[in-house]
Amino acid sequence: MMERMDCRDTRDALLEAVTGTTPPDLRRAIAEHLERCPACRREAAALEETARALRAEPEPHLTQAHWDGFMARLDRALAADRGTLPARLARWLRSPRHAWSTAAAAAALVVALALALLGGPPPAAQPPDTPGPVNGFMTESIVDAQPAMNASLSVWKAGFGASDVPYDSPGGD
Amino acid sequence: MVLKGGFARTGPTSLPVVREGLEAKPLSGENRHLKQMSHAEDLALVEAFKRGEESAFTALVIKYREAVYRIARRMVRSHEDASDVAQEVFIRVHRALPRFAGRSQLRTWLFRITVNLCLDLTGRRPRDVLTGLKELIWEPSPHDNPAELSERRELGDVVAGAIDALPPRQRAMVVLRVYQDLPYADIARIMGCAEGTVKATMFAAFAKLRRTLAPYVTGAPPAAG
Repeated sequence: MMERMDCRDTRDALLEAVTGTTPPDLRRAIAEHLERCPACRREAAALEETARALRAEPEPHLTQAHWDGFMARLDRALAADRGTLPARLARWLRSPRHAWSTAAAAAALVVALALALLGGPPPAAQPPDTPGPVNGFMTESIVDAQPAMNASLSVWKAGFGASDVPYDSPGGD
Repeated sequence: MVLKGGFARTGPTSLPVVREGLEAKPLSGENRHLKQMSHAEDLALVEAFKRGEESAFTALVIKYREAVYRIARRMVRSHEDASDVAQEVFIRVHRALPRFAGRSQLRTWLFRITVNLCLDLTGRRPRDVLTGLKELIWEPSPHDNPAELSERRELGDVVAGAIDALPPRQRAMVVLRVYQDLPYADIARIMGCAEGTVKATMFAAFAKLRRTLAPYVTGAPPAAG
């Protein structure tokens, strides 16, 4: 239940009330004020006359033939819009039917790009007994772990498809 | 010309705002229910469209084309421009509908696109081109008789001129409130402003309209200022 409105509140809410749908409790509060206030009643009448004049302007009424033409034109515009490459690509990506294959293809592309960018050229094979600058840093534990590290490297380099590469196979190829 | 059936200003019960306010308002609850149903129907159509049912989009166009056209028509005043705006609205909606999350009402979103396109169009055109478009080509309804039609056209011209003379944003708010019966809150969302701004803008617009239409309504005194 709304509080009793004074002239200021009423004038503030009148325009909303005369121009369209208004919450019932607000309308009721305005009505109660207007019953006892001739000045606000005159203001309400003047606003209503203006609103009624505006509503007296006929609504544009279009024939069914116009709407038939409108729909045909819209169909043509949408067909042309559908034919553009970005629209086709967007539709393809959105389609639930293609969602999984699109996601799988995108993931494969990302992995391939990552391998291409991070993997670099395969390192040249180096016989274990060849002395070189690295050998000075080869501790016993590194030498022990080397076969396993080589096997991991070979799996990584072959990609996810190479699941049949034995864990202990010689790597570095 | 003076409006026929001027308001009797002798007592409060002659005013619709008083009469309806005092009466029970079963319609308001019903209207709210209808609006909720319409919103649910819109969401169902949007979901169907997202699943690939193009006919759901056609149903949305049929549901809203008239309202979109009418807003555009009152904003840009030319049948051709309004029809072009309506086409563009639905093309944009078709593109953007897959991303429509349903957080706002579809109707509000559609009207926002419509108003923005109309504001763009009116902003691009010189004012005299718009006000010069007086070729009101209302299609007559089969139920109209010629005398009534002529009177409606005459009054329509006067009212159209008064609305045309408003600045575009004021015009948009008046159109949305008076002809689409949207609540101030929805108008604020469509116009991208606060509800208080809608209220203030409506006051300014109505002050101008009262002055312009004063000679055509029975006894309405022109508002000062």
